[in-house]
Amino acid sequence: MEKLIEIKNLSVTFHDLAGTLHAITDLSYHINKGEILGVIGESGSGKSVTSKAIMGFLNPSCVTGEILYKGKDLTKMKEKEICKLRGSKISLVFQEPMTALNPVMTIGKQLEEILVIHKIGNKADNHKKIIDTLHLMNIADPEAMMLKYPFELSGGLRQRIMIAMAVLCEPDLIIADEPTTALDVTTQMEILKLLKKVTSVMGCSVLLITHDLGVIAECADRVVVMYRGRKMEECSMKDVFENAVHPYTLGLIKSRPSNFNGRYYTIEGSVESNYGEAKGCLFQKRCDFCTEICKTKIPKEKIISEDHVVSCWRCESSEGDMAE
Amino acid sequence: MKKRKNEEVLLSAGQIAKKKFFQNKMAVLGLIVIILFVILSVFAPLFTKLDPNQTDLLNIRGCPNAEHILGTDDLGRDIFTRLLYGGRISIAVGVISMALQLAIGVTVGTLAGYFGGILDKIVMRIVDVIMCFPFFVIAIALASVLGGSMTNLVLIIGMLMWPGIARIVRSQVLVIKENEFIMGARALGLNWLEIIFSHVLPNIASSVLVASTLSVASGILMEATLSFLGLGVNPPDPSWGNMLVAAQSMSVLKNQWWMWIPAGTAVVLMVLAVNFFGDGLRDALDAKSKISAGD
Amino acid sequence: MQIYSISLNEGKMKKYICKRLGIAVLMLLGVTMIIFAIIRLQPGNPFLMMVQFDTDPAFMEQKLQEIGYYDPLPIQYGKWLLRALHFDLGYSIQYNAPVANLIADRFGNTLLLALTSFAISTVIAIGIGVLSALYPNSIMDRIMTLLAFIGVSIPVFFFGLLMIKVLGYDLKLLPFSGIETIGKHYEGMARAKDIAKHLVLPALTSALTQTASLVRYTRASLLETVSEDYIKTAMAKGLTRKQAIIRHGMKNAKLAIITVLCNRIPDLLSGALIVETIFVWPGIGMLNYQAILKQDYPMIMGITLMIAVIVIICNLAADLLYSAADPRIRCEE
Repeated sequence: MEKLIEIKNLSVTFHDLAGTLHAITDLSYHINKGEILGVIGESGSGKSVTSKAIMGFLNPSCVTGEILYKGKDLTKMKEKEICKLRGSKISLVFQEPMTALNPVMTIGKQLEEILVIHKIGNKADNHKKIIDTLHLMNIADPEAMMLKYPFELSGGLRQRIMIAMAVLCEPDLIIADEPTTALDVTTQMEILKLLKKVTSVMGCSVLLITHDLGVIAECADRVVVMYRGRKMEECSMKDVFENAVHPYTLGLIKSRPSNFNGRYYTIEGSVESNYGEAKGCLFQKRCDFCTEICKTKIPKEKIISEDHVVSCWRCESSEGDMAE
Repeated sequence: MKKRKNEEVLLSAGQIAKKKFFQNKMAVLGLIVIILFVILSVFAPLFTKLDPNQTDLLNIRGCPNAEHILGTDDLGRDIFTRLLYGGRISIAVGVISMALQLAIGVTVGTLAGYFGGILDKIVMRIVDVIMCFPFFVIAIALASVLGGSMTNLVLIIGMLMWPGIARIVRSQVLVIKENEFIMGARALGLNWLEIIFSHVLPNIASSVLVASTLSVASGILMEATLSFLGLGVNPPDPSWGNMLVAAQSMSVLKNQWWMWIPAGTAVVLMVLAVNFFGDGLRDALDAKSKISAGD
Repeated sequence: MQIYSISLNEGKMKKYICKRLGIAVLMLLGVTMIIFAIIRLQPGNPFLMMVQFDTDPAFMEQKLQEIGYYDPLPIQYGKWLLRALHFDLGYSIQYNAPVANLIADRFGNTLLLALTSFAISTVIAIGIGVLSALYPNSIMDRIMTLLAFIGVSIPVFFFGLLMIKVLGYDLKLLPFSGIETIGKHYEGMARAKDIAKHLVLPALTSALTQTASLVRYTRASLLETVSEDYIKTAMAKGLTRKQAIIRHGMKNAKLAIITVLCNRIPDLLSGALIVETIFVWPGIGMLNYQAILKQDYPMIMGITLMIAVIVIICNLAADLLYSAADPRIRCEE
């Protein structure tokens, strides 16, 4: 499959008074064309920071590594250059639909704006395009919707408007950063179904960032598991639930309420913060399989099978270490 | 401060606030100036051997010289001495009127915000009425009716400015009231008095602190203006404001700068210092502002 | 498009306006009552100054009875209120002329000073506020913040005095007293120029504190707007940070700024009492101050009423403008 985005050895470091925060360390993965890649991790795993890095919202001095899109490195681009891509080629759907829309502008104006910014089409064409997109979002009566203000809409509707905004310019990649976290369960399902529909109709890729395995199960094609800024495991959807290797991934799966058998399983311990240099595997304190080498050396990425890699000392692959 | 193995540092909220505050150079400077002025005023006898009310009619409007660092005024009194003693009154007016505003404003604001209903509506109407009028128009009217004196000044400033504090307190209380820990406290059986004292007040403490600092600043400004207009502290007691009355005379304004500029400068510096301090305090206590570390 | 939304809510708007007007009138009455009581409770009889000192006391008593000086307070208030509704604000004790006329004469001067300083301070403050939001923590931003701090820390009268000394006396650049040069009777353009020259110092002095406090406000509200989520959304759409702030941030910030500006008008129109007194500018402010010193009750009441009306109109205007600009309020209430 053709690679749309390639993240190579991305590291993001922030400095504040409490010390040096390693938000992301040595992250590498790729997003294929037309697929939905799910990135799963708890808070502090750095998944949202990845989306900011791709969109170019971070201070360049904090970022090392490369993010390649169509051969160009997004991290090295100037603001004007990357503004051309934002919204038109790579768009972002935020977590919090309640505050993401400008409260004093109508929906119609806010949707029009994105077409105007990227100078796509004339007024009449744009209007039709917006109506069509709203239809795609399963919104009844798009004409009326154009005249409404954000506060008149429910959370689910607002999120659909956000997705409509993301889709209007027919982007190559939609980054959905916890798009369903702020919504109730039934609405979640609708939004996820919508994302899948959009992918199949428009052929764009989706980077779906979430902490909820259920969301991943619903729509992702491949999965990346992150913990405290590092990639722990990367594999296909099927492999995650059937052949997961990394103890963290296993722990996440076991923790699902559907795996209840008398007691709910939890991963022992809690997420530590990412200040200072790490010694050994980041998951060591909470891992059931921790050994001596885990405490001293950071695990290298090992290939389990095609499309399935893991950073863990526990597994030995027949091919040895990855050549990166 | 607890330290963990790999350079991690855990700070408590109070320590974070302190760190943020001391990073703000202007705020620290403000604090130093405030302390300086307070020491100079309170311990005035240590810094000057002269009596502020001692007249010397042979030495009227004297230029600054070795004996009188800032010269003498219309009645031959030493200006530097009067400046120091005047500081006592001006700063006292600022502080005491602030205390009055706090006492009334916090009480009224908390009760109105917590209980709501008719009490809230009536209180807010009163607050609106008092607040919508320009301070000086009413203050001058009141001062001319009641006569000028330090007590009246404190009363006037306090009574006209408490609505400002009440409004701030009330809006904070309204927000806190909706928080779940208040519901939790009531579920535990605490009565309203206990809830207000243990839960509501500590949470509004930081904004009240900032508001009261800034009200000291405006109190000093108001004293200066009202005394300048002859409606504040009465002579012969010195205050920074009434020392500026000298400037009402054309010749003094033109020629004898030492008779009025020092007092005015003192007001400006003190108010500036308090404003910087209050602003620094606000930034330090604001949970959302970040600690910078030379990025 | 907007018409569609408004027509649905016209009924609500009307109700809202009526409610606000009703409250406004009540507040007006309340305030005038309080001021009336305070002024009347002052000891001393100002009418003594109006008559020759050898007037027969009995005659005085009779006259005072006629005027209603000994009526109970509420009746005095009622009578005064009735007359006020006919624009009869009584006679000034100082000037022996109708209060309404005296106020009308001076109002224009105050308006001139007020509008000039308002214009100056608004333009500068909003400009600085926007620049600060666009370039936070730059050197220019820090200098502006510092100047704003200093501006709110200087007592207005002290700044005025300094201006008079430095620009008026020492450098002899501008006149600093009155509205026109005494002794010269200019006409037309020359007169306008003369007045303009006299206007500079008082307007700048008055503008200083206003600008300083307004800057802090615009800067703070714009900075807050800038950190809102919809700005991030706007940037995700492809706007640069500056564009996002100007196109989206300003729309929201203007709500708060409008309210602040409306609330400043009463301050200005109450004559910037202090500025007028220092610069001997013949406006309402100076009239007010003199009236208070001389216990000219009718004058004080007349001016206070005028100020009260202006304040209430401004508050109402601010509320209405805000609700017109903010669709949330328009459609909900």
